[in-house]
Amino acid sequence: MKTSALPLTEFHHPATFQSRGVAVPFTTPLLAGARVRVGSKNAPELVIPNPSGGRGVYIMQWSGVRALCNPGVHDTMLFRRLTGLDRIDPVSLRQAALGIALQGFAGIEAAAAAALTQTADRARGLRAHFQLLTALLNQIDPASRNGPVSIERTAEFDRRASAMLNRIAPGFGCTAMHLAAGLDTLGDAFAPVGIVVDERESRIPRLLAKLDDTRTHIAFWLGAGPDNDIGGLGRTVANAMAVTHTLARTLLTAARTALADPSGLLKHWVANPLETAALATRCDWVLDGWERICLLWQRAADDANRRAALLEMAQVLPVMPREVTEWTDRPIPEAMMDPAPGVISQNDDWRRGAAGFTLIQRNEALRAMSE
Amino acid sequence: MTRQNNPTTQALKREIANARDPHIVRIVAMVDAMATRGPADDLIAPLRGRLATLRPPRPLRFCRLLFHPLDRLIVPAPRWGPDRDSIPRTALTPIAEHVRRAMGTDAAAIDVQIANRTTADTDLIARCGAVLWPAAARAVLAGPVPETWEGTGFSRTAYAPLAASIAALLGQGTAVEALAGATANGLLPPDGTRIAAILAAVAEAHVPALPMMIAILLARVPQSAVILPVANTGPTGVAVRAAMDRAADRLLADLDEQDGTRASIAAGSLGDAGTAAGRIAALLRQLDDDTASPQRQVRLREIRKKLDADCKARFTAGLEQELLLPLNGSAPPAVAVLEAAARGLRILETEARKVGSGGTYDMLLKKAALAIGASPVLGRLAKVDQVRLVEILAGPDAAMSLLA
Repeated sequence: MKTSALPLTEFHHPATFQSRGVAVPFTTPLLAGARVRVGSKNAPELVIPNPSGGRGVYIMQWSGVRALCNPGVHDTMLFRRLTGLDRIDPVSLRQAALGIALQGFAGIEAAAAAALTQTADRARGLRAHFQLLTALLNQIDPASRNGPVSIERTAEFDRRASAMLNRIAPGFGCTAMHLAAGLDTLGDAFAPVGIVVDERESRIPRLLAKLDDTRTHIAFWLGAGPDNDIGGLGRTVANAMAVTHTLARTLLTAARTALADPSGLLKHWVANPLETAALATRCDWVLDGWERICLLWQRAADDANRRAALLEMAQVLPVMPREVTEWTDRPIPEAMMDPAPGVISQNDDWRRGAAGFTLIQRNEALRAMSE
Repeated sequence: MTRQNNPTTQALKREIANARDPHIVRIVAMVDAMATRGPADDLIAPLRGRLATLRPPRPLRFCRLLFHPLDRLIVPAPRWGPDRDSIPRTALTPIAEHVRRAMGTDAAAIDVQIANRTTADTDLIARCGAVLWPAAARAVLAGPVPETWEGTGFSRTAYAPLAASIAALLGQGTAVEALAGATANGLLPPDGTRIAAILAAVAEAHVPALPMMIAILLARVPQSAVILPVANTGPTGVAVRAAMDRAADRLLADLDEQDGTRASIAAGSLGDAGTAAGRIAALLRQLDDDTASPQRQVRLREIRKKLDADCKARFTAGLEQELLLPLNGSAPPAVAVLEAAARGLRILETEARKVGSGGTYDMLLKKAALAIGASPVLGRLAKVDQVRLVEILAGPDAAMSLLA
């Protein structure tokens, strides 16, 4: 174990999601579960789980990471891009990671997957803008109350939308152009949530389904044999998944409720743009880091690999910050604020040496499977 | 004119022998899928050497599933003897047919479950094996000598002791699977209680099968070697310790044979070779404890030397044939294939360093990285592909310098 000389922070109980940091999809095995957050002097700093599987985290600048491991080119390029971000949140980090993957630094499969994801994102973004504008038009324009304005964007639709914005802008205390910008911003922010009630194709509902599927599979597998769990790790992971799913579902419902009144949402945005956009991005914050955990389980094809996956999943379980109680009014189990279970691991050798090459390849495959 | 001498057959054989790897895998899959293989077996005969290297998943047949836990003990018939702690390949089909008849509809149900599945489906193997292996253990013990036993080339008296060993081992097939699975691919240490229970059960069923079970355990879970000496302190403890010595000697003898380590290192992809090297190195390490006799220590040194030489030979050939040749060939290089080769080389090299010196690898890897980083290659590879290959071969710093 080469990391013993590094300063280990014994506990990591972040009060806010910002202080928890955002999960970074590094492919270097020893950086698994690493998060990035704004550190002192506004520079990004990393929060890295103890690679041995024990308690505690390392908090360090990028320059210090080399004391822990030799990061790969993908990770170096990704971190360089992170240093240029205006803000560090799950959405901007995802874009940065897609950009690096698109350049091919995570391999050709991840590059192809990133291209598809970006195309799908653009299509969903355009659809979200249109659906939001349609909903607003339906709500405001009495002439359209007989049904949807249009099933596709036409010149006539744009004319009516423009007229509508010009008409309502004085009541909102701003210009029509400002309202149009607001709708664009809200469309971008809410596209991953899905504008239409019960929509399941957007990124957040799909991620919620993936989380629920994985939890169900784990629970079934744990029930199938008393030997399947490893010292309670499986139950810890499944419980954390269940709590996270409930919280994210609550936030999704809140976001969709806000969307049911597009005029009120737009008014809210004019008054407080950041808070309004945050209604949508809270789902991303709560679910941040869980996609990789689900994918680890989904890739495990047999019992030995499932146990290995559980060990790995348990080491990177996201801690739930107390801030979530302000967002949801729901109490969360104390265990979720410090879920780091006593992971049974002798050292971090399994991530070094020959195994390291296989793990990098696996991590790149996970990048290709990510959305 | 015989089938073998038929010019068309000869031409077909030549064409198949020169086929590219993916085509070979497809051809073998087609032959495997035939109900009656007959002449098709002749056609793929020249491929056996390359098949050993390619190791494609094979169809999961009843016989293959039955002997899955004992796979490492199976030897060609000429190499088998009653005292060789192994199972002759010619005995597999007669015993499998015997078990199938004894199991009746249960065997048919297993056939349905494994239809069109392959040996890559480890989950299915564990699930069906849990039903098959204990039932087969009972069937092998209970029945008479199989009708087709004569085809094995061995006398009828050879059957009973072999059947008793096979039954004792199959009876613990599920337990061995569970033991190996519980280590989560070696992340967790093996459970001593489980090992003791397996050994006690085998000792109770048929003491002569103990060395074979220990060989299975050592091959499947090399860390067992640490636990085995203390795993059984009960009434069978003495027998277990003697069996362990015998099993260790047998494993070392197998490795010490002419092609013992070479067969493992030459088989499969470069990555597979690395994994095999790592497994053998771990086994040698575990057997090289304070209690090892001077003779065993000498043998261990010899095997390490062989392993080192075999690894270097495979590495050198792999580097040339799987990386540099495709890189400089006339066809556009397939990046994924090149990356797999580079990764396999590093896995092999990392494991091989545990049994030998690293100077050769350093030199060859540096040379390969320089060749890939050189400007003529850039016309054939995208810059990012070049960077990634250099990263795999020479590390992130060398790769980053290409981006500077």
